[in-house]
Formats: sequence, structure tokens, C-alpha cells
Amino acid sequence: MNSKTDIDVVIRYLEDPGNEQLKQQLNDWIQEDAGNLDIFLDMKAMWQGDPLPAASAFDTQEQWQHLSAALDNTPAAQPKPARGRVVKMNPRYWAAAAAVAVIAITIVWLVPGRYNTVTTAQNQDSLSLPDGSMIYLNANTTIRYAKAFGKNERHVKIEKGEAFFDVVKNDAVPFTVDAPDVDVQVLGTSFNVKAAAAGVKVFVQSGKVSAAYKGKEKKVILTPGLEASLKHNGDNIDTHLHKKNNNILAWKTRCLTFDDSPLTEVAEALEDFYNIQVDISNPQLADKKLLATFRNMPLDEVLDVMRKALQINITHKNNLVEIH
Amino acid sequence: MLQLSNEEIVKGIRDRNKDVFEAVFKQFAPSMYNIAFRYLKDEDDANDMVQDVFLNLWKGAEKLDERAPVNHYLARATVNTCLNRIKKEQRKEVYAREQLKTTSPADNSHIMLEHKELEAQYHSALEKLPEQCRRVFEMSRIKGLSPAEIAEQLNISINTVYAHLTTALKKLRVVLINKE
Repeated sequence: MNSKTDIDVVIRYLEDPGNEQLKQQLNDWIQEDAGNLDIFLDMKAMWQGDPLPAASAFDTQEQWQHLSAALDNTPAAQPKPARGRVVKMNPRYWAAAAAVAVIAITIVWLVPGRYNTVTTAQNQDSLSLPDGSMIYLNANTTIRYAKAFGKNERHVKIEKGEAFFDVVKNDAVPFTVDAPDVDVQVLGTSFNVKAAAAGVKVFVQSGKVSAAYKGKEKKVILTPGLEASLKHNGDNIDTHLHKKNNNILAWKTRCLTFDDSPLTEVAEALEDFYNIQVDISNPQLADKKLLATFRNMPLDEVLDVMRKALQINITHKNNLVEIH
Repeated sequence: MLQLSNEEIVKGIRDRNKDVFEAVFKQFAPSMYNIAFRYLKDEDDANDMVQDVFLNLWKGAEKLDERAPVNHYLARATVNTCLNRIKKEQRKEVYAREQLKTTSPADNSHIMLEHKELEAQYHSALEKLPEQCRRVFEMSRIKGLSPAEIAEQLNISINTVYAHLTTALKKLRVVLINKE
């Protein structure tokens, strides 16, 4: 009998699976009672959106009919608020209102509560902006945007991490992304912004994007396939044209493609995708080339394919993969 | 089964669209029931709990956050509703214990037969699991080892242990349900 009723240790772990303290608490809790492991496995599967099948005692159809009848008899908790009356404004107040509006626009970015902040831990997330544009967030990413987004400006700030933007075209209201040290401006397109400690990388999938250091004249115009690297505390913009099969958006597509890619490039892509460290201890192996596609595969299966395809030794322990 | 994006699901819930409720219910209610049953140890209570969570969602539908996956909301709601119920139950614990003692024994021979059949199905399902998956499952259920201990003994990560156990439960439950 589990006298301790603290199942939210499971939720706290799922929300932040990288946290060692929570991991330890979870393990302790699992050991407390044999049934706890099952609760965890069900919760984990559900959290990932792929729930386990029912225990045989649950009659889904009957329970749905029960609920369906109850829903029909249940009114909404809060009636929708009545529409406010529209009051015409006296023309002489317009100037005052305009002055207030100018101040308000500046304040939007200063007052907390005026913008939405979205943060991911180990999970990925996506959100739809009021103008219909989509943002896909990689793990460990924080972005924010004004709650009034889309009215007079379309501005998103990426504080850390990596995000892919699919922007709805609107020439009247340009879409801007503010990354550490770097401004990115677009008309209507899809592109990826990665803000790492070393600098910011901008990769364009479709359309046209410009990127520039904040407050600097010099900027680059990026077209599909081009990636710009803007180093932190630098003023030089490197551009690099990627071939059609690249893995920049793999975090989003969940698919890694290697088209005769040298092992060093493979190692880099695996590091990013699985958030691990890959060391190639034998420099002679760096020239080996891999031709393979991995669709949403666990790391160990990928390593197994590489072992067999390239005839190399790979050891994997915790977050370290060694190729020798 | 309706294939909907999270945005569409959240919008459907906010609009109190019953088709969307049905799709979400059918996808997640069974798993919620499993969790509730392990906590509440009573089939009726577990069913009530699932109904409560969905009724509350219906009542406050417009407050649902559009950015979080709806399954995260349901997971949290399941936990909170279970915990609240257990707190309430603990107050009535004395009565509950007495009730447990008075439950009448059912027809034993019938249950024995069912149990035997179920056990045979369980073993044949177990044999069909991939080898490592079965080994992990047996270490957990028969030897009673913790996931951390299994990970150490087999030199695999604890997440791999969880993945094997999840696969095993999934396959075993499917087999056992379909044979009924």
C-alpha cells in the first residue's frame, strides 16, 4: 500500500526530465511501491501523447456514452461576457489618445505581463501566433512576443535556444526576430534561428530573410539553402550554402539524412540531434562516409547501423559516444 | 479516430465540440483510468475520476491553454483529481476499512477458471515479446528489481528500461484485451 500520495513527483519529473534531483526523487518513489512503476509508465506514455492501451476493466464506449449524456446536461461554468457598448470619441481627444499610444508601444516590451513568454525544457513545442504564423521551438528554448502581437508590429524575441518560423506573408507589417546581438527581418517565409552561446545561426528554407548585427549597417540577404553565422561579439557574417540534404531542421522533422557525409559531419549532426557528445578518437576514421536516413530512430539503433555500415567500433555510455 | 493537431483539439474543446471531446476521451481516458485505478484501487472510483476530469474540462473549456498539449493538461488533471480524492478518502479511512472487510466473496470456481485462462494467455503473450524486452519485464515483475537495478545489471540506461517496460505493457494489454 502506498501511503505516500505524492504522485506529482511524476509530473515534476516529466516537466523537467533533465533535473537530476527530480530524477532521484522519482527513482526513490518508484522503489517505494510496486504499483508506482506502472503509474509512472502510464503517465510517461500519456505525457508523450502515445498512451498505453486500457486495462481490460475499462469500457471506453460505455464510459463515453455516460460522459456524453452528462455533457449535454452541463452548462458552461462562465457565461460569455456581454459585449461592451461602443462609444464615439470626441475628436479633440484624438491627439491625446495618439500620444498615449506612442508611449504604450514603447512600454509593451518593458512591462511584464504585456507579452507572452514560452519556454521549453527537454520537450519541443509549437505555437500559432495571432497572425497565423507558426513557431516551432526546439528543447531548451525561450521566446517572447507582445500580447498585442500582429496589430502594429510582428516582433518575436528569441532569448535562447532554437526556433523555426513559418511566417504568413504580410508586406504591410514586417515580421522581425530579435536574437541576442542580431536582428532578423522577413516578409513571408520559413526559416530557422539558433541562438547558442557562441553566436546566432539563421537558416532559410523558403523566401528571403535579412540578418544583421544590432545597430550595424552591414547585413546579409539570405535565400533558400543559405545559412548565416553571426558570432557573439563579432562583426563578421559568414554565409554557407547547404546542399539539399542537410540536417539543420532535423530537430523538427525528426529525420536525419546523410548523403555521403564525412563522419565528422555525422558526429556534429548526432550531437545536435540527441544532445550528446561524440568523440572520434581515431583520426583516420574521419574520412569515412555515411549514406543513410534515420527517421525518428533511437540513438542506439542509429549507432548500430553505423557500426555495421562503416565497420567501426562505437561505445555509448551516458551522454558520451566514442568512435574508435 | 480523428487525426487533429493540438491547435485544432484545443479550439474544438474551447468551442465545446463534442466530436473533439469524443476523440480526446477515447484516446486518453483508458490510460487515465489505469492511473486512477492504481491510486484509488476501486473500479467505480476510477471511472468517476475520469468522468470528473472531462466534466471539469467541459465546464471551464475556454480557459484551456492553447500552447500546451492537451495530454499534458489531462495528465496533470488526473494527478490532481486523484490526490484530492485520496485526501478526502483518508478522512473516511476507518469506514472504508470496514467496508473492505464486509465485501462478500463471489463465486470462487468461476473466478479460478477465469484466472487460469488469463494466466495462460499472459504467458503466451510474454513469450512473443522481443528477448531483451521480456528479460527486462521479467526482472521487474518476477524478480521485483527496480528500474535502476535492472539498468545497472544489464548495462543499459534507465530510459531504455522504461522503454522496454512500456513496450511490454502495451503488447500484453493489447493481447489480453483482444482475447476477451
